[in-house]
Amino acid sequence: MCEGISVRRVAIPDQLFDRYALSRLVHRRSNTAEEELWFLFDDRKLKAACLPVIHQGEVEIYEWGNRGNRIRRLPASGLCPIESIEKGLWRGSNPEKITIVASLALENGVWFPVNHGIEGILVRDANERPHVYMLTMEGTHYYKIMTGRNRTPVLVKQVI
Amino acid sequence: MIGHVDGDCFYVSAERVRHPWLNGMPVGVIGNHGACIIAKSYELKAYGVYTGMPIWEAKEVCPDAIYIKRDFRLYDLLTHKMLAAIKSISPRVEFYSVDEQFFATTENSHSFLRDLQQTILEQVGVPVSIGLAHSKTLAKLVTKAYKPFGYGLAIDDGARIALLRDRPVTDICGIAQRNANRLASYGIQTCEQLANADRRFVRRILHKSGEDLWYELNGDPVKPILTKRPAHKFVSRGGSIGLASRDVTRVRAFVVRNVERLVEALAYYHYAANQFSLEFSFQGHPDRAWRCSLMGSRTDFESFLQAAYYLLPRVWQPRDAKVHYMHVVAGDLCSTVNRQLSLFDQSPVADIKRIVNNAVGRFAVRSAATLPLTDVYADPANEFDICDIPEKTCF
Repeated sequence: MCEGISVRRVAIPDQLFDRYALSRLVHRRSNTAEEELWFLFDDRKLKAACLPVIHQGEVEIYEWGNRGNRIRRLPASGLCPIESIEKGLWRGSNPEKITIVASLALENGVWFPVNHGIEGILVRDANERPHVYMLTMEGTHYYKIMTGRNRTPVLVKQVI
Repeated sequence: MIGHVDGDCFYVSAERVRHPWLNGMPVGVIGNHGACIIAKSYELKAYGVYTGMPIWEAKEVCPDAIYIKRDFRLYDLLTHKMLAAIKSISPRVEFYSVDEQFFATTENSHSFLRDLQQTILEQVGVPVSIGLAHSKTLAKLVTKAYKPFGYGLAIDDGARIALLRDRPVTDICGIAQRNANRLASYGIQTCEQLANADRRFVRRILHKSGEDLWYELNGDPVKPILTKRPAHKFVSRGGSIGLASRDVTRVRAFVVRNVERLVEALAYYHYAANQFSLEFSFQGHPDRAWRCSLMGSRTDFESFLQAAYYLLPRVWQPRDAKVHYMHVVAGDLCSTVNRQLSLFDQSPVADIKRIVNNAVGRFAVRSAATLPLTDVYADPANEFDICDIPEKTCF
């Protein structure tokens, strides 16, 4: 599964940075590299995993899936196989299409660039709080060799 | 004077033109099948990652590295921009390889090199290193000495000797490890020792090409700047087929794919071929190759395909061996302008195929025998490979 994404620091508005105390997520890959924010599904620094998304034209930070199965009626992961949407398995949750803001994605220890974001769905829990699931699909032969994983996040206008 | 321009970690730099925020980060570009590093940034190199290293080893060495799928269309675009920038300052430019060019000049100042470096950076976005000397071999060595993002000259004897001193002979383009070992057995290990050796001795050991290098190291240019690509002796297409396979329909489909690419390349260069070869590399078995006559100067897909089908069972021995790499090679070439025309020339289908593909996109119409490769054709990155960048004098 896709373990996380990275976003350039400049892509996140300052007010979100302060509101969600995102400084905990800042990384630099070298002294001369620019700052990034790493949103990792298993990041234990955070009580709940989160992802930056574009929702109604604005960048927002929403909870990523349902880590630890804290919400009973939502799947206990962060991913949504695209086939499950096609089969109508999410119909009861009224999923809303959403774009996850990402500059890079991490799969099985391999970071790779994301050009226009990742497709996701937004569903709401009983308290109307938004949760984002990342869409996944069968990977290309190239992707499988590169990452050693069979499924790829659904990238916006990009195939690896 | 001969100048040499070399793009610094060119594929990575090209990706940084598209994604400038990758500057300062460890970056690797991954090759045709997603497995191996074909270019790395200096930041990644510092971790010990080398060209050819599999990605699953590299990610252990440098977990923070970013890996990018190759995009030869982008590299083609940028290499031609680089070529145009150099042609603006020199009438004689050699398109040596995707990231290297030679040029002739009467200028010999540091400011000239610095200006050229800045011009390329501004117009192309790619950092380059530049060397200037009396010969191509020396200019290339100067560039190597000043990498990355440097420039330098070796135009007087003092600078030339300082350049060659203590530099291993393997730094010379044209001396690989086998020849280096032969020279070492005679006590020649550095470029300076080679330049100071007796010319006739060098010729005896390394033949004519070694003698040419000897002249070049001593500042006598014998390798001209080739403003036009010399005629091919062979044209080939092929490479890895990804996961090694003994599936006959898949291997056959790759043969057909490569034959289509070969015929396309021959048409581009206006060649007809009299011979055709098929070469296979297997997993756990020795390589095999067979050659056959095409019974005349041929350009048409059907003739090459029939030859390939004839050779396939002869090359694929033992039959249960897994095929890993293959090449189809056209030899005994002649220009289509001068060739004897066949009484049975190609069918109009070939022309229709070319017209449609030119209009719609490469491989839009292709042989049905390639249908087992839907995964290969579904990926647009497979439409354009490094060998599809034409006119380079080197690979």
